[in-house]
Amino acid sequence: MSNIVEIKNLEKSFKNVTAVDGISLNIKEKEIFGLLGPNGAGKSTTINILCGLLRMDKGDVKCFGKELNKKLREIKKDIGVVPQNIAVYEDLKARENVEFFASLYGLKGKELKEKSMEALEFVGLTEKSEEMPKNFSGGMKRRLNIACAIAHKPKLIIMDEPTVGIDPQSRNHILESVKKLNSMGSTIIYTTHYMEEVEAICTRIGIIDHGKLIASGTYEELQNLVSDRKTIVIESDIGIDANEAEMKKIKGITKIFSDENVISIETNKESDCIGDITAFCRENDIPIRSINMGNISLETVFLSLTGRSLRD
Amino acid sequence: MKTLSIAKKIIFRSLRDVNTMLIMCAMPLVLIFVLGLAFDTQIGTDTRIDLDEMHITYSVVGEPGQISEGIEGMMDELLTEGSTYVEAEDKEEQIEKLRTTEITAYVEIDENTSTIVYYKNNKVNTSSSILETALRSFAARYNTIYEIAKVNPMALQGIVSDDVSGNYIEEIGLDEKYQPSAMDYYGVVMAALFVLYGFMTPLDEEITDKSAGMTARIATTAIKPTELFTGKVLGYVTVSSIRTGIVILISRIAYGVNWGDKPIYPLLVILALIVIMTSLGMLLGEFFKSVGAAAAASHMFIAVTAFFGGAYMALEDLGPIAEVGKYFSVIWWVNSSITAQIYSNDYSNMIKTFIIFGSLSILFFGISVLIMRRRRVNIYG
Repeated sequence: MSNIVEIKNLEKSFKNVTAVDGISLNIKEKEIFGLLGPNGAGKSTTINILCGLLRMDKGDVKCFGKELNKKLREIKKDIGVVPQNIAVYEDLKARENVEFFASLYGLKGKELKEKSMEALEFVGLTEKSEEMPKNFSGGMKRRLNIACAIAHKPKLIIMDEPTVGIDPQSRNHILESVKKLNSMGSTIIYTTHYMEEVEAICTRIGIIDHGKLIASGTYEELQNLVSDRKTIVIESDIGIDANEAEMKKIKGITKIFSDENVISIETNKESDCIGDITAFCRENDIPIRSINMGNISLETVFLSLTGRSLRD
Repeated sequence: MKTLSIAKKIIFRSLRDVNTMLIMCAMPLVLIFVLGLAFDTQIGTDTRIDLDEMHITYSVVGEPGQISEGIEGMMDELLTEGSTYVEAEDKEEQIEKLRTTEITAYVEIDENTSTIVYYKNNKVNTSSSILETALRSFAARYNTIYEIAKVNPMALQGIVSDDVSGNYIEEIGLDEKYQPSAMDYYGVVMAALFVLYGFMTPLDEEITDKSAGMTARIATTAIKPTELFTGKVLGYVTVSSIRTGIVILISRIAYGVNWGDKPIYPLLVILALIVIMTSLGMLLGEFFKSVGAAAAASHMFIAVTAFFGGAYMALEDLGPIAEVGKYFSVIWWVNSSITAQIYSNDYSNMIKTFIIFGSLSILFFGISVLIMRRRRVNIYG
């Protein structure tokens, strides 16, 4: 498949802060490309350059084989952007919102009405089409946010953290919608800091940190980057942050990541230190509720590559 | 199409905001009614023209001839008992007298160059405007006769003898029933005042669109910057025109506010005000980041503009600050040009208003575009 987006040595700074530092990546047609990184990593800046909201300082960006700097408006016609915040008019009906944004891509008349209704149907809001979004739940607003970006049937859909702050049911609906859009032929760039979302839907993943692309590939390819390690996940009844430093001294442990009552311990693949870990918990009165030998998650990959958590 | 989409969105959203619509339409109508009733006698007394009180001085450069004699004849007919039309020597002294309202007007006649220079006292605006109209009429007649004389001197006899009385001004300017009542006065100034309040619509919408991410989202679409800008201007101007149109229509029907025999001219002045306030609202919308700060600054601006524009009471004899301040008030420009057009058929202020409002609108819109270009890449797209 051909590249739909080609980014070479992209750089962008804001005053003294380097937001994007020489990123190069290609996104192929009909893939769901996940852009993963903690807040402030440079994901949104990259996306904003791609959809024409920011000017790049250096680098070359091509979309659909056309240079972004020269053919921006032409490129924009084939891009749909789902912004991070819910950008819909609360006092326009759902249908009117979709029609408004679709009309800005050149749709008109019967085609505008039909495609707008198709978009609403796609996100499951047909019955709410004549209602104002101010009466919608957070999840419904998120779905409308997506409908406004897809009515004109774009070849490339850029989704910037589209599931922030919504209930699990709406999240699942959105993730299913993303997969469906992809199966219908759209290429999708999906940015998030939720690794489980990326694991669930993305065909390829790019990990960004401090403005640099530190790794990219399929989930399996990323796992192989840290194949010399394994993960032990312990769930306790109490917080174990205080014992983290002591536990780290156990031979074979390379990294520890704790989140409230759950601790993820990364060890060398050859090392068998599970006995030492359980002994440590016993000695320090840490009640173990469960213990699992985890697969290498994206969290582990990220931790291994950057030395910090995605949620830092 | 995209331009119309932007305009349509603005119009739909504004018209659906029932509370704002009610305030913007009902408030001026209530104020016109209350202030119109309360100040009816006062405004009537202040604005009625008393020709007996006019005192005019003049000077003649060169030998007195046809022009100075013609004007003197006109004054004889125009001025009633108690008025004066006397020759003066010192021009500077006469101008000083004008400042201190000792005289109504000073006319400088140059027989050598066939020119008339008219100095009027703005504090007695209506009276001096009538005189000005009369002089313009005289000048037009003089020029016509002069041109005819060059071609066919014999034809003059008939013309001059047929129109000895010299109908220098239209009767409309002298008939008491056409003088502005308080209701007429407040009808004009309240419509203008609420156009002023209307500039908060683009201001508020631009700021909230920025903070809600709508501006950025629209910038990611395929719309051209010119389409976006034109759509916004069209939308905001339409919204303000609808609101003001309702106020003008109801004030005409319910209170009988006089919008003149040729209402197109007052309406064009109001439209010019709507355009300049839209341009100001859009410009300030680019500067301000919070609606609260913008609203505070706007209310202060409106209060000062309203005061100097005479929106609450007519500013007569309130001293030099008011005299200078009124020129900075768009309400004063609107009111003076509409009043002069309706009551003395004088278009001079209206032309100045169009020039000033037009120039400022272009300036404000220009700065807005420059800021947009700097802020958004898609302007270059």
